[in-house]
Amino acid sequence: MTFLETTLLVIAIYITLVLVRVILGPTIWDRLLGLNAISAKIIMSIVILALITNQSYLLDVALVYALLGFISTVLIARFIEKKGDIT
Amino acid sequence: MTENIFLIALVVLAIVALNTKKLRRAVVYLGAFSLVSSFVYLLYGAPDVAIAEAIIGSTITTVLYLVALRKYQVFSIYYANSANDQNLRQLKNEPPFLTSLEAFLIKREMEPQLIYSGEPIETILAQEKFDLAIHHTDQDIWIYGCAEDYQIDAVEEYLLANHSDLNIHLIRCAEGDDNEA
Repeated sequence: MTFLETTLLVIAIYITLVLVRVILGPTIWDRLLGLNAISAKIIMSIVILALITNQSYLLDVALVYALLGFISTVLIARFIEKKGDIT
Repeated sequence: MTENIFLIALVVLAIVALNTKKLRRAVVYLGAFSLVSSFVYLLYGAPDVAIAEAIIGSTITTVLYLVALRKYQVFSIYYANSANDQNLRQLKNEPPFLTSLEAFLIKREMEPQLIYSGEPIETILAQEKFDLAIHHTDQDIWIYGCAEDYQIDAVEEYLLANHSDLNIHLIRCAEGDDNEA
């Protein structure tokens, strides 16, 4: 097992730990924060996967995620804070 | 090994999203589900599908679900009467404040569904899925609602403004209680 594969495994374990918080989390804000953390870790693992397989087009996917990933978090947060009013 | 962790996480998220009782939580679970599933697409060597999943799954469906959640219309009201007074007890015609409450809800583009229940209020609170539970006793009217329900504030304001003579008390259940809708 190379260093990069070990890193990917560790990130996968981190994702499962955050997943526990997303599923159990007492309030909706914990779940939202967990979703954001999962999104960050998925981007990291996509970059590491691109390094392992030596395919640079995987970086495009990571780029799209980094640009679009926050939109859902922001919209859900606005939806909850403004009591159902998304504008 | 790594692959298995992601696949198990996918299955767990799908089951949790189906089993949750609150629609808002299901939206969050589905966001996490689409994130993990697009990484699994990448693991199996399909980056174009992963890009489509990233754009559609985590952005557009979230917006669609939130808009749909806002337009979710059926509003169920449970009504339990435990007054000793026979005049209050007979249910031939419903109490006037309920009629005006229903008119108010219809004006706010919702569909009130009134359920007369003979069971004590504790059973209703513990077992039923309700948006509002109304408990009518001799002097007071107790209204139970869920604190995260966005319509409760408007309902409280309306009732206090128009029926201030009725001794209305509003009680909000805490968040995280799985009993409410």
